[in-house]
Amino acid sequence: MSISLSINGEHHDLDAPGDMPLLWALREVAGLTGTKYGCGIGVCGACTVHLDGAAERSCLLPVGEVGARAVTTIEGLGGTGLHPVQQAWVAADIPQCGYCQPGFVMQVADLLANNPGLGDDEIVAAVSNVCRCGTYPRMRGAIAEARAAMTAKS
Amino acid sequence: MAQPHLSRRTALGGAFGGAFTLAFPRGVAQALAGEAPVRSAEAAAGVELQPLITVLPDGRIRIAALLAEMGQGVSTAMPLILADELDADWDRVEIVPIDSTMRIPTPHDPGMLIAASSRSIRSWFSPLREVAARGRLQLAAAAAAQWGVAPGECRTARGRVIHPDGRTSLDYGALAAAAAQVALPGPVALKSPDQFTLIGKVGGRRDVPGKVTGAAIYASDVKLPGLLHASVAQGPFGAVAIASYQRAAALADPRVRDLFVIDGTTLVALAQDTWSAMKALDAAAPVFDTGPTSAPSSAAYKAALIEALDGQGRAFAVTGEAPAPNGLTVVEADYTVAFLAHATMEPMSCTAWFHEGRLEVWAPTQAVFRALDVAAQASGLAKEAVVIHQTLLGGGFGRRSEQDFVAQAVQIAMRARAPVRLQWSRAEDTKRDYYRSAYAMRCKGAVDSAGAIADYGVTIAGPSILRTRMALFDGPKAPIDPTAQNGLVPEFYRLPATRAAWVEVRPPVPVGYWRSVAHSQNLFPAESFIDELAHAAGKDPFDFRQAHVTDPRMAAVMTKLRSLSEWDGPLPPGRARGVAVVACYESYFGQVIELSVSDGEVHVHRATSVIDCGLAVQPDNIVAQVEGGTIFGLSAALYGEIEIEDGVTQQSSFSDYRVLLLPETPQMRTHVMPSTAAPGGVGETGTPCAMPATANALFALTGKRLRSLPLHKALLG
Repeated sequence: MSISLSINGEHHDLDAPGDMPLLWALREVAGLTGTKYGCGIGVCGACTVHLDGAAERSCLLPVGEVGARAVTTIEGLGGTGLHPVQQAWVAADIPQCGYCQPGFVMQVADLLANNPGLGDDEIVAAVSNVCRCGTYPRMRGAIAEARAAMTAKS
Repeated sequence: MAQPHLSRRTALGGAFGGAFTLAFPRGVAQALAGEAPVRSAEAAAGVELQPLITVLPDGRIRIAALLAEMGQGVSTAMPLILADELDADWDRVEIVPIDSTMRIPTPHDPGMLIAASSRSIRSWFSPLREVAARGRLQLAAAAAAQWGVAPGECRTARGRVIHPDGRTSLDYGALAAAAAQVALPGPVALKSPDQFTLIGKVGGRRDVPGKVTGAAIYASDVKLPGLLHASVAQGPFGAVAIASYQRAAALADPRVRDLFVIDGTTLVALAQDTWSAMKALDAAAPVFDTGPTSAPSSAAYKAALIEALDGQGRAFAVTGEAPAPNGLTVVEADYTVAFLAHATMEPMSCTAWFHEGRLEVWAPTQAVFRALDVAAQASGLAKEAVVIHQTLLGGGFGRRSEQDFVAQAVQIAMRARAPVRLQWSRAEDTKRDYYRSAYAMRCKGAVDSAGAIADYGVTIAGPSILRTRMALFDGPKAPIDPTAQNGLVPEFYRLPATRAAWVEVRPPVPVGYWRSVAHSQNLFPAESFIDELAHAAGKDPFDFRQAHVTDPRMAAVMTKLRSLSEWDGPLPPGRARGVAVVACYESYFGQVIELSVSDGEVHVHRATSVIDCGLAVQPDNIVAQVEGGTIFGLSAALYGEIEIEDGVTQQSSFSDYRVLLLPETPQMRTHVMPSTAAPGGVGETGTPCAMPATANALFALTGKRLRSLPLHKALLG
């Protein structure tokens, strides 16, 4: 079965069953491995992608239900460069093992872009992704940095 | 005599090596572009100057990261140490992971080839520098010969040898071929710390850009032609056989290729994709036969541990003479800690491919050469026919010092005759971990009328991790397992009389190393009990520790911690502070936790930490390790508990194995003491204090002494 998807601005015809979670279709059919498998039950957030710009956990979403919504993965977030959240994450040297970080970056990028009224504390409170290395302490500052960069751009 | 280096990895790994170089991208742009560096031509042209160090003709230096990158930063720090002593141009250093065919520096002590015990830097600091110093001398000698001057008159800086005239210089790239021919004398002199150009000065981790763009390659991400995907169901602990499974139901899905059993009790599903493999295991609904022996139970084990505290045990740390009790205040307290999972973010995974008589394994292992032994044994091949490629680890914490996932992937790949990527589900990862064991401890001590410790005794009941791993620890004359005893009797306090004993109680399930190992269970009783003694003596817990500290480095850590944490400053209403200190992995560490309790939840507001880890190679990364280690310790302190009933672990994911999240993260203040002492360990040092410091703060807040972990449960109980 072939499923048509828009991923990172490109059209893909994926040979995948419709009930396969988007996570696995991205990783093992489209070959985009930046989106990670962490728990498979929508809890840890390692699989976070954007659908029409809004963060979604891709491990529970059947690929057949994505439809016409544009999928953005960590590979496509910054376009030709680094997204401000990625830049802030690099500047603060946040990742340790790094496995959860694409999910954090996607979640924070969505919260900053779509909720300009939220303060840093409210952004922090809205992130339920799991990091076992404990890289959280640097994230608050990086969120503020990314917000400043995004505000300056817009 | 060195030859122009033809990378054996290239010969074995073919074009796929590039995928792994991507794990350590040279730059964001390349990572974004997904450009796989072409290694074969370059590598053939490069010269292996010394083990781990290859000089390319254009002057780039390729340094292999000797030990596993699991987040602790050694894939930058170890090459940085080499580059400093080599006087390499750091901007022209590229870092690649090692594989099991590479030449590695001496000493070849197997214990030094594992990323564990926070020993990567402290063990390798000097050996790496000796390797690089030899390379630097070779390059200087090659230039000197070309110029007709004495090698000792030449300087080196930023990847060039500089002529005594101060004007002429030659790039390392132009000298490498001749340099590799230079025979070296015996020992070489190393830089003094004031001559370092990179150590202590260069921040930033080379692995970071790829980790925020998705370009970093973990074992779960390895791509190979015709790759198949496998997952496993291992059933409960204590399973002796698979009684039945629904083969036809699992194979009804055309994406499922095969279903078979390895290791007697591990059901394997092989499919076109991971999701189909996991679904096939569900459809197969295996029924495991647990045999006649009593089924493992964490509750029964805990009861056995507490009962064992009344037993004799084997004595250790017996010093001084127990004082007569007259005039002393005697304190007794029993403590327990729960089983803990590692819960790495990347569930266990491994990729393997048997082709053309050779076995290639892409392993997220903490120990490449141990994985080599395991892969050779599991495949029946000679070690020479096996190559282990080190991949990034999606978390280690001790879990990936085990090689069970390597043995499985190898067996599956040998049978499949195709490249196979093994991926455990999160539930499998949670249920078949090598847990940090539960333990019970009984402390008995006394303080005199002046408030000084007069007596200190402790008995621990728990397993030996080493008994099943090292013959030395499996016999009547086995030494007392350091994983049971380390840190139980602190060595930095004035303790006039000490007595300790270990009562071994065999664990019901496999147990293993967990970040900070013995300290992860022993610091909780040790530093809680010091607080209890302070309370009995009517002293402030910080005053009491400072009055008893004998080690000057620990004393300096305490002094700094007291001011940085504002221990003597006012507290917001409803908050309290607790302190704990630890000496481990040749480092000294102290921490103050400030918290409150509301609605049955513990809120940790601030964590202040001071570490003396000797010479700091990358100070900013040390801060990151301390703070990350603290979060890891806080998760265990507050919530960590694995429960096992009838051999089945009751937890299965982050939904029921709670860990600290971003909104719950305290404000952190961390200070790294300046030092030129030999480097100490960092990766695990920040973890154990969180447990007693949190319990001590809760006592200060509530007057209730919690003596069992996790504290959240103890608080509610």
